[in-house]
Amino acid sequence: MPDSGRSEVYLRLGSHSEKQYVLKTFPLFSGVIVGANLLESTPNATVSFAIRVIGKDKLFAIDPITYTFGMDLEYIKSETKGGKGLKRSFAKLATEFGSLVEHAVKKDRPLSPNDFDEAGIAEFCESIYSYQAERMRTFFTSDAQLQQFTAECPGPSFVFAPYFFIPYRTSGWRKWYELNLALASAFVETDGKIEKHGVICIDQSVLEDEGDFLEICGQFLEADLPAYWLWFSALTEEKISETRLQTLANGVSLFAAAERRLYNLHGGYLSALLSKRGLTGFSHGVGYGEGKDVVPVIGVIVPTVNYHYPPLHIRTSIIDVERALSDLEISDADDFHKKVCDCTVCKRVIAGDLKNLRQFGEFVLKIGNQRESQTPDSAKKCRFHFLLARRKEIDHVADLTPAQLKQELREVAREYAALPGYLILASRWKHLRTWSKAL
Amino acid sequence: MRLSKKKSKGRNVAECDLCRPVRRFLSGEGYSRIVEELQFFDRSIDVYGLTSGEEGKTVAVELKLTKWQKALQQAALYQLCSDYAYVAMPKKMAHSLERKSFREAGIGILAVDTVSKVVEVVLPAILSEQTKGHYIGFYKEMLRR
Repeated sequence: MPDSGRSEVYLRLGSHSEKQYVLKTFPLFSGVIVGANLLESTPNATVSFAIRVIGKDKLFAIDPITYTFGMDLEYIKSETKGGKGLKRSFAKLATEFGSLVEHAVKKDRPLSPNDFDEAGIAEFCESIYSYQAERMRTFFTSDAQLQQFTAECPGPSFVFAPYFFIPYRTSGWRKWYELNLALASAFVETDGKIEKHGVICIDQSVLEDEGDFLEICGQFLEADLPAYWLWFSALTEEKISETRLQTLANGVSLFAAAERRLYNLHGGYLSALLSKRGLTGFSHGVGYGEGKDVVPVIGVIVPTVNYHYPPLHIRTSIIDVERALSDLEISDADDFHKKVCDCTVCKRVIAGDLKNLRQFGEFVLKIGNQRESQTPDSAKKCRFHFLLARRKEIDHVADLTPAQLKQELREVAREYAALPGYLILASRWKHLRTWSKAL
Repeated sequence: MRLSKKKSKGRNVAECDLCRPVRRFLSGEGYSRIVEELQFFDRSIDVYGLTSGEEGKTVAVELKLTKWQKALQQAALYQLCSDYAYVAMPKKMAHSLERKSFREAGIGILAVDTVSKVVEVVLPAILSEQTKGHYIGFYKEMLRR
């Protein structure tokens, strides 16, 4: 169960290749969230994974990612033998999510708010609830070897209300907003005993207008769900402006005052800091997924997993760190562990010699490529370090008062601002000052 | 990453136009082994050179048309893997740079006349104190092969 007084942190499993990270570290966190598309594409592996998570007394939830059916369907298509079509996992979801979704995708178009009347909203909510509550069990029932264990198949710890992206201030946004509100309200009325959570998935520009944002939060609160998840599309915590952060912090306070739990669906250290304003928790991936655009990135090279640099709570190339060591007066491994990170991974990798830091950024030329890419071993070290460092960050925030955290953020900002301008780290501290103002 | 052929706004020069004059200049300075676009972690060193002899010296050059702060930061990273690091820019730009930051970092400035192709040392680089044996040794061995 979640630790009291600490941010609840949920790891998001993006693919089964990430399972090794999650399986080794999830006991450090509150629980795990998987996307419904992953459940559909790899049911047996996902169900057995869920059993392990729940067996360790951690929370488990399935994100129904209903928003994908309200966006350009090209995002969820791939080349198939018969031409371009919905990816198999999404085609299965369309069937599971009921007639509205099924009809829309048959016509090769996304859902629109106009598709939903009162009965449609109720039916959709029922489908989404029952999908999350029952889908894992149906895989048990359909498997001859697992059938006898069906009764033991775990259910999710909580379920998400259906949600769509609210394209704030673009044409038609109000219709999407009203639909999301109606879905949240109807979801409360849907039969089922599993705790229900709402999702507010919206363009981050809403944070420019505090009045609008608080109004939207207030309306969602009226749906009277016990917990809500915020998703500001493409919001990067490091780049958030002071104005937007202030608005976000005031929104967080609004939920706290209403005694409703609030989470950030894609967050990082800033979200941990916002626990001091009442944010209950947040989720992120394993390397790193601390922000996410509703529009998926398609067809790009695999990104480098950079080193998570705990003093600044950013990820950066390990050579940026190595170049700054002398100016930070870090001359040996002990200094590094004192001033940067003393997690088990860092200690094992560095092994008393700072030259081993390069293992966090090793590259290799793969056959057929023109450019070198990160070695799997290096990416693995960065991910494990990130997860251990994240846990330490959570504990650190929990142990300090807002005033102490504010002071710490300002002191670190001052230290890095004083570094020579030719060091990359000297230009990566400004967010700390912004964050300190939200405490 | 290939050297950019993209010309900066209002100019008829691309980064790749700086490359050949810089290579020729380094050759004249005794750098007998010169490579372009040498990968250093997730970065790519535009030009990297090594002098002959047992104690061969190494140099890294970052070519840039306008964004000198970015060039300075990149060249500073290359001090980890080279004895000398330079930023090479078109002549007019190179002469207008605020030299204090470069001097503090020990990074040199090269001015490239894109018409005559002559390269001039505006500020000599200082021997890097940041050089790491594990990087420089690897590159020396690679270039000697």
